Amino acid sequence: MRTLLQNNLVWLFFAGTVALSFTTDAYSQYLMNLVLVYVVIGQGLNLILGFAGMFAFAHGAFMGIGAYVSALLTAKLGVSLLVAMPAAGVAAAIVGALIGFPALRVSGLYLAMVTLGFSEIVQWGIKHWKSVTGGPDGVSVPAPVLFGHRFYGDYPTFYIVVVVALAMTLLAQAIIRSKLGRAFVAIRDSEIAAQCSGIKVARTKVLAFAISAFYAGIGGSLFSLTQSYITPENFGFYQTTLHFCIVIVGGAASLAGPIIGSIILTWLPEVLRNAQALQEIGYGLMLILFVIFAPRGIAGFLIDKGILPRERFSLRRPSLPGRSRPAPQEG
Amino acid sequence: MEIATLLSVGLSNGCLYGLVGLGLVLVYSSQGIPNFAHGELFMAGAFLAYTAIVLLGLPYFLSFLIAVVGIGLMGMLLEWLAIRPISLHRSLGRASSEVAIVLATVGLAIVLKGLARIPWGDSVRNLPTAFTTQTVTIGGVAIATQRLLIVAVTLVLTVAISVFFARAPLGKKMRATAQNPTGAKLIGIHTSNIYSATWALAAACGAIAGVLAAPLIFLHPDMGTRMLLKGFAAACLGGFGSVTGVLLGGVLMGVVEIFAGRYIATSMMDIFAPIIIILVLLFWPQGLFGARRAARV
Amino acid sequence: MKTSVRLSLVASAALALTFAMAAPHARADDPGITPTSIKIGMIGSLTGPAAAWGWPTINGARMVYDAVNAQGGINGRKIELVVEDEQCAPPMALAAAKKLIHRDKVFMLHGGSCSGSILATRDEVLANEVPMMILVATMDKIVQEKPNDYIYRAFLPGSFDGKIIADFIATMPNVKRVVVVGHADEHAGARYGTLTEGLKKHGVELLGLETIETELTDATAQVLKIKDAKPDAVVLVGRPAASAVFLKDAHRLGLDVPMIGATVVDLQDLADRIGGTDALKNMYVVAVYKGPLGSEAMTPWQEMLKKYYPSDKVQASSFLGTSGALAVVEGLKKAGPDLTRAKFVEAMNGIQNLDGGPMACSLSFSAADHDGCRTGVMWGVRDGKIVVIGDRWKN
Repeated sequence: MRTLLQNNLVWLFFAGTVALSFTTDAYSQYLMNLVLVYVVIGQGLNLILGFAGMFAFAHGAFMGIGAYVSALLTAKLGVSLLVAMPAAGVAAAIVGALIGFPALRVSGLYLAMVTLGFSEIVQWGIKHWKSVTGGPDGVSVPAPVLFGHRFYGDYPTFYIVVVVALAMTLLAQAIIRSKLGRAFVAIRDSEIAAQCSGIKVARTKVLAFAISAFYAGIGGSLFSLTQSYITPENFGFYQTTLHFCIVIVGGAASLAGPIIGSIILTWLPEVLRNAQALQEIGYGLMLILFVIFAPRGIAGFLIDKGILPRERFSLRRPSLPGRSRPAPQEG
Repeated sequence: MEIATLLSVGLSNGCLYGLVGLGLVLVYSSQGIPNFAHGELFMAGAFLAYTAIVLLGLPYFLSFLIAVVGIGLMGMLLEWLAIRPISLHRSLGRASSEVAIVLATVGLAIVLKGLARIPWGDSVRNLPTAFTTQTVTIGGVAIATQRLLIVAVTLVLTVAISVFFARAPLGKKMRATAQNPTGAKLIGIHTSNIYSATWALAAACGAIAGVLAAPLIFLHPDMGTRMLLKGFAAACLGGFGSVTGVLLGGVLMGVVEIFAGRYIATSMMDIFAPIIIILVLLFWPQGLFGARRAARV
Repeated sequence: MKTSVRLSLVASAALALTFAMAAPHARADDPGITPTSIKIGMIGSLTGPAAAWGWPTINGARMVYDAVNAQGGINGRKIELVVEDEQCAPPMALAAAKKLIHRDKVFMLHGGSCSGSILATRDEVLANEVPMMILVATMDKIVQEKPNDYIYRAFLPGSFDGKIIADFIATMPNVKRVVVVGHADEHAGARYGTLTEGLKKHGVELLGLETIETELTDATAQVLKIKDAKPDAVVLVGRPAASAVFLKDAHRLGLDVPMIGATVVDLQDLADRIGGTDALKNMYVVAVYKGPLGSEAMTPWQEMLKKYYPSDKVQASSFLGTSGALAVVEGLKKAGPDLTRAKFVEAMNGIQNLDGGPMACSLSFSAADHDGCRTGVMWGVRDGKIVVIGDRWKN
């Protein structure tokens, strides 16, 4: 029984959110929706940071691209969400792949700065391309109509969010277990060894960027549904930091990690509402404490204690992506 | 005339970017990480000077000194509290790499900003300028005295730091540690002390930039955010390597930015730093003024 | 493992289908009222990038409720406040609004200092039919977009700011060409529309729109560019710090045409920042208050703030939320002892020419128009002193 529970904690989480949604008020439901949105984005960031070992600092921007593409398609062109959401993911993935190309030229922490600069440019673009994005005024997101039913409000939105989050988590699991996932891990552990064993490093890296951005794009589309109104300042550096906290606190290179991280980082600020000073520095403190004392996050701790099962590619000896010196010259 | 005015401002802005970039380069050289908390050290320096000048009524240059030394010590403390435990893990084989340190600096940035908001978040404050005369006219160009001070301090500091690295025993040790930490350890250098010293020096540079810039831009907890990006741009142009490189990078950045704003579009000015970062890192990863050699600092 | 995955998938899908079709959740009638209390939820940017507009504006509104409570409340009910932070972040603002509405079950809301984040709460507020008074967010469509039966504002909206500036410029002698300089944010965006429209109507040529960063360090490029265009006047739509930088540089570089600032800045505050009124000789600012801080009209309010919040700094932003609280109190009084949300809304819609307290405008609401405050006047500097100029230019 215990092992059965252990092996299925991730799925129990989804079942649990469904069960909980019958008992919550709209406020908790909204937070639960946000948790699920961040599960999607967290899984995406985890693929690139935890599994492929690359340091992309732009998921706030990818998320923004997804949110805007989906919101503009549904609001201005009346496209169905069934089309708009994949389009959001694909748009983010294309941009992600373009940003992935620098990953071949610059390595490690230079990449952090390239992606940081990129996300600044995206935010600037959304603010200044007024004719399309509405500029700083933002865009109103209509409630989606699917199969003749209008999904308006926190409870109906939940059903869209939970289904997509579950699907994206399953997809993440499939990717991790596939040949591609093994290639990610091989590149993370040793780029040279990966190359020697016939992995096309350049292509895999660009693919990692595209897939990770795809997740952020889908997450952005979901996010726009929970907000019903989006403005450019949603998608700045603060957002990206939040994503990193989710993966690091939850536990990198673990399927359960982003889920744990999303729950904690969505609920904690709400719990700390009355401790305002703490609320603002809370993210920062957590980030510092976790990288110092628990670099494998809560999932890593739980795996060590035998509460969570050991996942196939989880970090045994934690090694987050680093600057590889000397810079590899391929592509 | 107009060109001279633009140049004078671009130059002094550029010196500020160079100063911020210098702090980034110092930490990057020794530990190989971009310090995302550097903008907050810049902010903290300005607020410490504000406390000394406005709240305690101390004279300007004494306050300047207090701010620089105080933030230098703070940098050392931060390294000891948040950075060293991570590097220790690493050498113990227990933990992560540079990314953990970068994330720690991101965390530090959030914490410092949040802490600054508790006493100072409610309104924007002024730091008085160093001189009572606000502007001087040189050859028909009105220049703020604060800007002259910025340029002077930056030049002196650049020379001093270059000499420090070339001559001073501590500077030589820092260079050795930057080039080869293991080798440095083998010849008996306490590398962790060197890291502390580097952080102190970098933080002091940030504080100097903060105190110099504050009278121009007013004090508030978010004042370091944009400056960090511009410092990064300066450091990228300088190739994240030499002291003079980053200063030249900053000046180029400042001058090009203001001319682009004047003759192309002012809305471009916000976006200039990230564009430079991307272009330089993609096409000239060594920077425009970086030493070709692998040696850093 | 595989089976259980499939099981939970099927289960969640089934549950999803059942409950997606379920009826909307029933709502209790008008929460937040007891025979002795009325619960009001306040939302402000207490922390985060706009914290400077947080506590000062909240406390400027709270003091009105405190004063009402000190006199025994309204129809025997004391006002109970729950204050929540929005950090100027839309998701946080929405969470705060949902918490106040669904968890704390407040009668009404009073809040919003960041337009962007308060816009995110708009749908939630309207859908739950919760009356709301905007604290200081100036974006027009928060209140003016239809349908809106519940959201009120007792503070000059951004578009009127733009209109007042355009009308004032039209009365200035020899001003035919102007340049607008401001941020690329929603705050400035709220003003550009009516400003350009108004200028066009009055036959004033708009030469260009220059951008300044919110964290501006220097405005030399902007000032020189503007000088090059040779405008007769400059409209400045910037936040206080950036405006001060711009004005300082304009003064240094000899751009001495008249400048007209939006409500975002306050003349006294600018003078404090720049250190004197030298650079402000030719500056006019749309003001919302009856007089400068320290003037006779403002004294009672300044004393009120000192009484209830002695540690608060009395500053230009302190009383921006006060008129909203005054309107709420009036609405609650008029709604009578059998208070319901519907009655409150009806009472609010009936408020005519209510004195705006520290605000220069008087407040009038109607069912069709929930923006109660529509007038502002220009202040300028004459002989080193800040004086009220009025809505027409005069020397």
